[in-house]
Amino acid sequence: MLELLGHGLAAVMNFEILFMIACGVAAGIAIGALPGLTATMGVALLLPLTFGMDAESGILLLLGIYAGAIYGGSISAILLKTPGTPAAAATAIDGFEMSKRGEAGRALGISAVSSYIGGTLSVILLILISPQLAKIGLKFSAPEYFALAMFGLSIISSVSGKHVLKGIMAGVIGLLVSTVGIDIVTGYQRFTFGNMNLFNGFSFIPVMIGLFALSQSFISLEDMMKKVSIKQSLHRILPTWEDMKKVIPTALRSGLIGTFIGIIPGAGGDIGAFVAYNEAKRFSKHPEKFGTGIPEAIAAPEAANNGVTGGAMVPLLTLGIPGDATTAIMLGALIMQGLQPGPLLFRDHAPLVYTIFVGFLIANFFMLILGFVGIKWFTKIITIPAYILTPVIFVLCIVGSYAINNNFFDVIVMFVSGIIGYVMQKLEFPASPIVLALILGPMAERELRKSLMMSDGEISVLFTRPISAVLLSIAVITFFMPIIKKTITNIRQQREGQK
Amino acid sequence: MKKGNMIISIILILIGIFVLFEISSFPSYEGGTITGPDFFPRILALTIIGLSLILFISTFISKDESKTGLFDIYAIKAYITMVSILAYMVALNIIGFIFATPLFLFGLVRFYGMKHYPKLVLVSIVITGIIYSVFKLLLAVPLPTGIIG
Amino acid sequence: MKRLTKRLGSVVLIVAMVTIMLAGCAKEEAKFPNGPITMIVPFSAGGGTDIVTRAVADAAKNSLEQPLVVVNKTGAGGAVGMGEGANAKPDGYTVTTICVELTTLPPQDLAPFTSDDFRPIMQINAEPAAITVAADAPWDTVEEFLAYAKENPGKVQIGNSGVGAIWHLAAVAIEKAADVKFNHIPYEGAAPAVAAILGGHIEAVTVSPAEVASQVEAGQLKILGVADNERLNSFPDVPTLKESGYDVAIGTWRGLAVPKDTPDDVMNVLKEAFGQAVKEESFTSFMANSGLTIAILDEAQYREKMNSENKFFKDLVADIK
Repeated sequence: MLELLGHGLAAVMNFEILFMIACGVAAGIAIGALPGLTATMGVALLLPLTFGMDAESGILLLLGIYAGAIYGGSISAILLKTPGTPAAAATAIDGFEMSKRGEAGRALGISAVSSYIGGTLSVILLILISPQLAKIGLKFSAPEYFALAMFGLSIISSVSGKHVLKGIMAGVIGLLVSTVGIDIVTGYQRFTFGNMNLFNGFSFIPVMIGLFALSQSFISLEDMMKKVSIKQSLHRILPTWEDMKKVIPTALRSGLIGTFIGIIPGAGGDIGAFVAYNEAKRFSKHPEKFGTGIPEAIAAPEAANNGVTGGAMVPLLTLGIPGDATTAIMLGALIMQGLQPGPLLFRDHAPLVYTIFVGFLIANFFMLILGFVGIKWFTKIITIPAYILTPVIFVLCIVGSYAINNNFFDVIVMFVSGIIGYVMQKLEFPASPIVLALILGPMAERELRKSLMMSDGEISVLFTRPISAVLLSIAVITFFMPIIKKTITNIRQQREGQK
Repeated sequence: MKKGNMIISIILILIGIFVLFEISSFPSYEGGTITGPDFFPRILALTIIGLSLILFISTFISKDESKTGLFDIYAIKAYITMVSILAYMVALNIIGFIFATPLFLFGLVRFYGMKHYPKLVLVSIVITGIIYSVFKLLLAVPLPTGIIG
Repeated sequence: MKRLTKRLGSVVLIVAMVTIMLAGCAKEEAKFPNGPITMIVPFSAGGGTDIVTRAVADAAKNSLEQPLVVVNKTGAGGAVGMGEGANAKPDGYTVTTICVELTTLPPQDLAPFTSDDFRPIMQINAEPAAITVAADAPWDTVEEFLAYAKENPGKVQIGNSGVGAIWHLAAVAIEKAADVKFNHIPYEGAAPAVAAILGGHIEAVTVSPAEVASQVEAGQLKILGVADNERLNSFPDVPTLKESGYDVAIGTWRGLAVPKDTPDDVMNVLKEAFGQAVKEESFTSFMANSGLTIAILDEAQYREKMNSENKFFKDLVADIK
């Protein structure tokens, strides 16, 4: 293997390929940072460009975009509270809080470092043990997916911050909205009212853009009137040693979580980020600080979502099965180049595979460099006066929502979600639960029913299979802990109020 | 927040009832009730009704007097913005991106306070141009063209 | 004398005008296409339909001397893109890649159009359903597999790419032909179904051979039979279901079409150009490398196939309700 790695390294070390990777990463960061364009869309849009390129350049370009975009999403999440990609939704929570304190540069630095650690860790694992990891991914059948989805949903109570009841309510509403569409098991149309655009349910990215980007922009209009402005401190670009001490362990753990979630076919960066956020909170000595803007709360989701990139490549390369939506497009790219991903790829095209591995490592490194180089420019963005920036964001949201399916209906969905998001913020309903619900709701329902279909109605199968039993137990704990804690806090406050 | 909470609770309860009503016409699957298309929505509808009741009652009892801010004077800006975005969306489908966007930017930036007209026009056109080139020319993302173009 | 000159003058004038008009018209006709042609792909980038379209567009760019712009319009299982293509102006500037969903969605009330709303240019690609099981499964032939299924109704779990999707319908068609009952497990596409069979969670899948080719070559899966009229070039050892006595030929297909009232002269230009494109080496080698089968049908044959499929799926869909 070392020999192959050496070959890969040599193959990558030529100007053309390095240039391709750098372009990909730069383009990816830009695409990810734009609210409305996501990593998946970026790869889909630039896929045709790779048609004429040779395999190494084309695939590494796309991988560069992938890694860059997943990091880039955190830029707008931190600066504008609007995740540039769904995977950065969890970063927006604490990232923006830091930004509000004038520490946007610090948050961006933490995000870059964490993305780098998570991404690199996942590629190392990809190189070393992909076949073994792929086997774990294959063990996931319907009960395990259901348990994973429930685990993801249980995080709702944790990301709701102070308003646990409202967070759960938001989650339930999100789950209800996710039932709109053609029922996958029976083919029956639920709540579509005959509208063809709703056959597959609400496209979740427009909802997310509206819920976060649009509504946040509406809220920021008030600051415009109140003439509030925050000075951003930019003394240090590199994170401090104190920050690194907290960030590195979190990033390593979260990168691991992200890698494993990426390995599971169908689970992507958005799920990984939230799970890692939740686990970081669970393992933290001061969980109540999550949500106020602390380094770990940015490191965890950013390391995890980049960890997913390498993890998702594992089933793609070893089994020919994409690990998430973006790698599904890369599957097309590989096929276009005449490469059939799967077990034979390693046998027939080993040098190419290792070139891709090394290139991917370099892509992560470029992402770190470009991330830091860009911090100064990124923070300058928010110095653009709000009266120009906000309308531009509106246009970007609309363009982005339209770009997904070339369907204006998505723009309408985005707009309505924006208004709902605004009202929700005013009524102190958290928005993250809706994101979790929209992504995981369909998975939970579908996999539960499939489990029953496959087990002949035996629901015990969820608890007898080890992986699903473990995940479900963790889910129960994860869900109830914040509720119990909140109830205890309430009771304590009431007691103190009475004294 | 009191009024806001109570109103939203009622709205959500109504939504829950609507859902229950809609799913009464769903077929049930021959594989048993749990795999029917009505199972999940029913549980969710019942849950939201239950949680809304809890919210309603707990708001009733609590002494929280904070305001939602939905009807503040500051919020007017948001509502006018929403209407203009709606107008922009309609315009996109009639006159297309290239024409609708500069108008939209011009109007909104002016509304938000920039009064220097030449700069306004310049900004509107330049930004439209940048977005158009990046999205349509560089990334080949189709932009709404409307009836005219 | 003067009157004659006048008459002659007007005749010459009229003849001249008519000639100019005719020349103008002829010139306009020869000018198609005089602008870029949009190709609508009803599925997302990177998928099978998308890459086939891009390969054809690339191979055709020399014949048409105009850019072919591929646009993905996704949604509703292909209905959004095909719907838009059906309602486009019939001037030849909007070509749509049509797929089997054109005949499978309307009977399920999932599409507000039918194949009659299109004028097919040609079919390009077709993939039959292939009964695929794990390499170490106890059945080696289609007969063994279906015999087992017959003795165990509802027990054999067959994964498909979604309820009402072509591979599900293929499994139902096999059920009817063999008089057995499977337990259909829906997945979000063919890839998760293949993952499930690799993980040993289901017994079989009925997706296209291309989607399992790399696993079959690696010895992880085996194809028992294909639902086609002839054996495949890529897997010549695999018998067809017809050889084994089951009259089932069903699978996905992709082709190019324009709206139904497109005039003949425009059609001829398109047919000529794309007919040439699919013979190009760049296209044929691309399809071979991707494991995709080239299956050409001209307008009449294609129309006939779609008509018979409309009827076939109407009956089949009534069975799954």
